[in-house]
Amino acid sequence: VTTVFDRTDGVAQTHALVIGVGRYRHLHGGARPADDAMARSLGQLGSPATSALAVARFLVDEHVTDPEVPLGSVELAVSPAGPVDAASEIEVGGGRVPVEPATFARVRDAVDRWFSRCQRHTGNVAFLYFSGHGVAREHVALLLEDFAERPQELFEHAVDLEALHLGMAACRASTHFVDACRSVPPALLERREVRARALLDGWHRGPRPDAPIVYATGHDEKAFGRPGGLTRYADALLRALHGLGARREKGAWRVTTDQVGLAVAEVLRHGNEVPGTPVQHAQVVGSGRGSVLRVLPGVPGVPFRLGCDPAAATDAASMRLIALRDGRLADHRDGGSGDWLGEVAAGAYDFQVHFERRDFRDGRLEVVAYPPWLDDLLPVEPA
Amino acid sequence: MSPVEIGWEAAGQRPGDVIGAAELLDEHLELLERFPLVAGVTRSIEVGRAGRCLVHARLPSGTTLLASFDPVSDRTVTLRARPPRPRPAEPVAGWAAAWRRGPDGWAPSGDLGIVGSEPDRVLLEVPPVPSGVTTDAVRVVQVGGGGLAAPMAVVAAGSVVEATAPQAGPERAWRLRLVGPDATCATLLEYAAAGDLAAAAVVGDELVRRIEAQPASLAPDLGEAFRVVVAAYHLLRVGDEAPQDAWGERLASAASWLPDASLLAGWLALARSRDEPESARGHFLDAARRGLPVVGGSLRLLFDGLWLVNRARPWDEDVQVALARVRPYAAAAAMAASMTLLRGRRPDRPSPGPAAPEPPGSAVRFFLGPRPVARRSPEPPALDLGTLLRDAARRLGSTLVAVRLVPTAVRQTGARMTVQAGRLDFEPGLLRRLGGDAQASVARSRAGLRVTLGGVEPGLAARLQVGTVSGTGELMLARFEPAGRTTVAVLAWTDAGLPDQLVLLLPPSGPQPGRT
Repeated sequence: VTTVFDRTDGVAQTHALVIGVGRYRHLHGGARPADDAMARSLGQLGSPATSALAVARFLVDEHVTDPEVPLGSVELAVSPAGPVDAASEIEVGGGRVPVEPATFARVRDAVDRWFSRCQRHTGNVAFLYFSGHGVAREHVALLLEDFAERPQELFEHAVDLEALHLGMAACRASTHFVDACRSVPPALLERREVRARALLDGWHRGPRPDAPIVYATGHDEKAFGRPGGLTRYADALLRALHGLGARREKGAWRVTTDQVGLAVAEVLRHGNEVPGTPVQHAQVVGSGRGSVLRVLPGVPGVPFRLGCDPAAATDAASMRLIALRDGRLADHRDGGSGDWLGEVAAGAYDFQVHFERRDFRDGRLEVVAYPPWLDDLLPVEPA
Repeated sequence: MSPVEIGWEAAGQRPGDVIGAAELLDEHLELLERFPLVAGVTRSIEVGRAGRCLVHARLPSGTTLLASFDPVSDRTVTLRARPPRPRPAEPVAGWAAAWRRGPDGWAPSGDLGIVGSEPDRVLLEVPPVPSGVTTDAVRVVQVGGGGLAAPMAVVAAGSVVEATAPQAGPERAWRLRLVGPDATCATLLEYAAAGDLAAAAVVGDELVRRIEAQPASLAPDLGEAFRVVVAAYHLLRVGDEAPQDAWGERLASAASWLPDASLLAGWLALARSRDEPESARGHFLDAARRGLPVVGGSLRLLFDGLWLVNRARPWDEDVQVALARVRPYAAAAAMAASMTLLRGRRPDRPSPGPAAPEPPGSAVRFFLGPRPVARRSPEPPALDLGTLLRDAARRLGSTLVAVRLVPTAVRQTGARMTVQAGRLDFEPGLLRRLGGDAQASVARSRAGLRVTLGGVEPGLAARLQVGTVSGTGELMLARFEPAGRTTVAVLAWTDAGLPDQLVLLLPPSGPQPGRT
C-alpha cells in the first residue's frame, strides 16, 4: 500500500497525501505512448518524484512532534521518470519503506484512506501535495502515471483537483499544494469538456472557509524544476513550511493557512529576479482563516536584500545589521557588488551603512526581518 | 499607559477608504493585533505593556509601511512608506477598449477614458451610469497591444482599472488591476488575489462591519451594490454562517441586478441546506442567465455551483444548458484576480488560451515607457499671446514659460485622434531650475485637466502654478497641492482633447518679495 506512515490517534493531527509523477507510460518518451495528439504533446518529468519524496521526508522528519497538529499519516505515491530522478523508497523510523507508483487505482485508494482519516477528528488538517503534469480547463486535471491508457477516455486516469477540493469539506482545514503546470495544450482546446475523476462526492456547505489551494503557476503557464532535483515550487513550499510562512502568535512561530500561500508566492517571486531562473508565479485561491499547519521549534530565518539608493552607493558601502533587541552584530558586508543578500533571524534591526571613501554620507535605517522577506533600500546623500 | 496615535500617508486616497491592513508587533515580533489602515484616520492603540513595538503593513501596491515606537514615551507615530523597487519601463504601445452587452450581444461601447498615466501604467475609467440606473451597468474592459495577449476585465460601471505591461516571464499578457472607485473593495480584492489572505480578512471584516452598521438604502446605487456583493463574497469565503441569512436579503435588495448576487445567494442556500440542492439550483440558473459576474473568482464559483447541482440532478436539462453556457467562460477565467478576468478575442468568444486581437475602432491608444524625446522645432515654441503673457508675468513678479505637452495616450474614433493624456516636456534650462528630476503628467479628469508634478522639492512645488491660455488671452492658473510624494493641480477644461502646451508660473529665483 501507499501508506508509509500511520500513527492516527484520537487527537487533532495532520494527514498528508503526497503524490509525485515523473513517469508517464503513455506520454511522449513513455513505455507505451498513446496515439493521441495531447498525449504526444506532453513528456516525462525529471523532478516531481524527488520533490514528492522531499516533502514526505520533511513531514516524517519534522512534523511528527508538532505540538498542535502532529503528523498522523502519510499516503505517498511516486512514479520516478528514471534513475536520476529518485529512488522509490523512503526512510521512515530508521527503516526503508518501498513507495508504490502513482497509478490511478493506487491514488484513488490512497484518497479514500486519507479522506477517512481526515474525517476522524474535527481538528484534523488535510495536507495534499501533487507534483506532475496538470492541464487546465474550467478545472485543473492532475495527470497520473497511467494517464491516456485508453485514448477513448483520455482523462479516465486523471484527478479533478477542484472537485477533490470541494469534497474535502469535512476537515477543519485543508491545504492543497499543486506543483504542476496549468498548461492548455492545443489539443485540449478541441475538447468540449475534460472529464477527470472527482474521487470525492462534493455536496457540502459551500466553499471551505479554511482551505486554500496554492497553485504553482498561473493559467496556461509552466512550472519548473531541475532534473533529478527539486522543483522551484517544492523548494519554495519547504522554505515556507520551515518558517517563511510563519507569524509569531501565543509565544511561538506558527505556519498558518492564511500565510503559507503568500510565502510560497513571495519566495518564487524573489527567485524570479535571479538571472537565468525560469520565471514562475504561484497563485493562491480560496480562503484561509489562520488555522495552524505547523508550530516552529525556534525563530525562523528570513532572507533579506538590502542596498542603498542610489544604487552606486551600495557597492561603496560597508553594511551592518545590528539587532535592536540586544545590540549584537547580526551580519555585515564590507565589500561586494550589487545588493546585499543574506539571511538573518526574524527580528528588528538597525541597518547601518558606512562609506570609507566618504563619497556618500553614512546612514542608518530601522528594518524588520519579518517572514517571508526583508527588502529595503536606504537613501543616502552624496558627501 | 496612554494610547499611541498611529498615522500614515494615504496619497490621493479619499478619507475613509481602507488602503491596507497592518500588524502591531512587540519586540519579539509577536502579533498583538491586526487592524485596517483607513485613509485620513489615525489609529489609536493601547498596547498595555512595556517594550518597543512595531507596526508593519504591506499594501496591495507593494508599498511597505513600517514604524517602531515606545508605547511608554511615544504618543504619535507615523508609518514610513517604502514603495516597491522601481523597474525600468519598456516602451510599448497599447490600446484599451470597453465592451457593452446589448440586445444583439457584446459590442464596443467607446465609453472608456484615460484618467492617469505613468511611464509603466495607465489608469482607465469606465464612466459611471446615471444615478438610479442599475441595469446594463456591467462592462468589459480589454487592454492589448505590443504583441501581448489582451485580457478582458468584467467590471461594474464607474470602475477604474490599472493596466501595466509585464516585465518578463511567461505571462505575456497585459496585467489589469482594480483600483476603484471603491478603494476599500479594491484593497480587499487585490489582497485576496495576491494570496495575502490574512490582510484580506482584516479589510473584509471592516467592510462587513461598515455595511452592517448602516441601514440599507431604499435606492441603492451601483457603489452600494458592489460593496454588498464584495462583502458577501468575503463572508462566504470565511464561512461565518450566522450573518449569512441576513445577507441573503441584503443581496436581494441592494444588488439583485448583478449576476454575482444570484450566485452568492445560491452558495448561501447551499450553506443552509446541506442535502437540498433545489433552493440553490434556481439561484445558479438565474446567475447564468443574467450574464458575467464581476468579482474575481466568481465564475469559478458559478461553474462549481452548477457542477454540484448537476451531479446531484444529472437528469436536469436546465442545469445542463446553463453549465454548457458557463463552461467556456469558466475555462477562460483567471483564478486569482480581483476582477473576472477572461482570455479570448472578445467577450462573446472566450478561450482558455491567450489571444492578441486587433483593437476595435473605438479603442483608446496610449504609450508606456521612458519619456519620449519630443521632436523639437528649431525655435522654442512661441505663444501666440507672448507679449500679453510677459506683461502678466511682470505684473505677477514671476516668470511665465510655455511648456510643450507630449501626448502619451490618444483616442482614435474613426479618422479622428483625440489626445487623452500627456507629459510636459521641460526644456533643459527649465528642468534645471525645477531641480533636475521634475516630471509632470497631464490627464483629463471629471474636474478638468489634472496635472501631476513629481520630482520637485515640496517648497518649490508649493510656489509653482500651472495654467492655460484661452483664445481670448485669458490666463487661468492653478496652484499645485500636495498629494503624497507628488503635487497635483486641477485646471478647468472642457475641450475633448488636451491643449498643445501649458504655461508654468515660476516664482522669482531670489528672495520672495513681500506682499503689501
